[in-house]
Amino acid sequence: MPDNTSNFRDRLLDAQAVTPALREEYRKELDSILNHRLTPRTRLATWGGLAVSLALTALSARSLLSPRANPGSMIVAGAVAVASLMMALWLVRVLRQGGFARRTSFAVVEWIGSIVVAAVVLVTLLGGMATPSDPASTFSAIWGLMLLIVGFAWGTGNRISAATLETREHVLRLESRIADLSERLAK
Amino acid sequence: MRLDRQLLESELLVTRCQRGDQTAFEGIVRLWERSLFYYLRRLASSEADTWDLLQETWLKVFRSMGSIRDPRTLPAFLYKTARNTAISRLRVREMGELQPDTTDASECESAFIAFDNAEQVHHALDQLPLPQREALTLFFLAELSIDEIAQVLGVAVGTVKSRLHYARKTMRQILSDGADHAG
Repeated sequence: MPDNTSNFRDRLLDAQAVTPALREEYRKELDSILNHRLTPRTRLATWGGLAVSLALTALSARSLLSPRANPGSMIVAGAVAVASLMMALWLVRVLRQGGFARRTSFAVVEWIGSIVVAAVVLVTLLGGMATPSDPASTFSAIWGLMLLIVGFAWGTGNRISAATLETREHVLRLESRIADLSERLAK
Repeated sequence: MRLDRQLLESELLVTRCQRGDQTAFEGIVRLWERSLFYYLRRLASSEADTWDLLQETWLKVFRSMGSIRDPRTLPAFLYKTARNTAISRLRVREMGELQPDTTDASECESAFIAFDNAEQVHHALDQLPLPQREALTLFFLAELSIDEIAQVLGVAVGTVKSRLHYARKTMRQILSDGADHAG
């Protein structure tokens, strides 16, 4: 794109007057859309959530260490312990920062959901394999195996997408650096 | 920032955003805010409405960020989202004018438009009929190809060229009338 086109565009954009007060109001509202700020009420709810998460972590850790625990309940307790600890750590961060970016909250929910689903699948599979002579148990094992295969395929797909995005980002960063260098050399 | 650098930068920001980088979306807003505001200002009747529309546009873009398969399509995606937001929110009197028209594309000589005085062009833009105004605004912002402008406006490429042709004629008329009055 020729430079004179960019210059004309920039001058055209400069010609557009804006009211600073309206722009400021827009920026504040946009910020509240992208970043959730804690109000006194939501801060209190966050403290409550933190207390529940820590209690859950402690309870599940206790049942994990119990000598009477069977493999199924140990898996569930382990998953709950990890998920609630992750939630607690995230809530501490939210309280320290006084808010959170909405995009990160999606990622936290996704992680916790994945851990819980993985635990349910493993428990179903182990439960099904526990008594092979029982037809209902065999059905449970087959069902667990199917869920495991679907989960594995989904996880692999996600990993491939993540790797593709990572590679694309590296390539774009390189292109950006090359463009920077070309501009500097041209000056 | 030069346009090709801006496009490269926005491609990188979309990719970072899709990888979960929370600061990347704010970067996209900073990069495209002025152009989108300029375009929406040409469609809305007041500045307050324009800021509202822009805010709603960003909210829609934020929600559908993960669905952008090719980051290079971001500019067209942004303008299309902005336009759809304007159409659904404003329900302007000129709504009929925003619908696709059937102007004969064969009358188009060239889509190239050369104007120097950005200030004069800026004021003259608001005097154009709405279909010509938005086509010419997108063309002047120079971030989209003619094909992409057609995609944003939901019309054929020939129609865009035709609108640009008539817009150029009308704008020359407006500018020369202004010069006569000034003289």
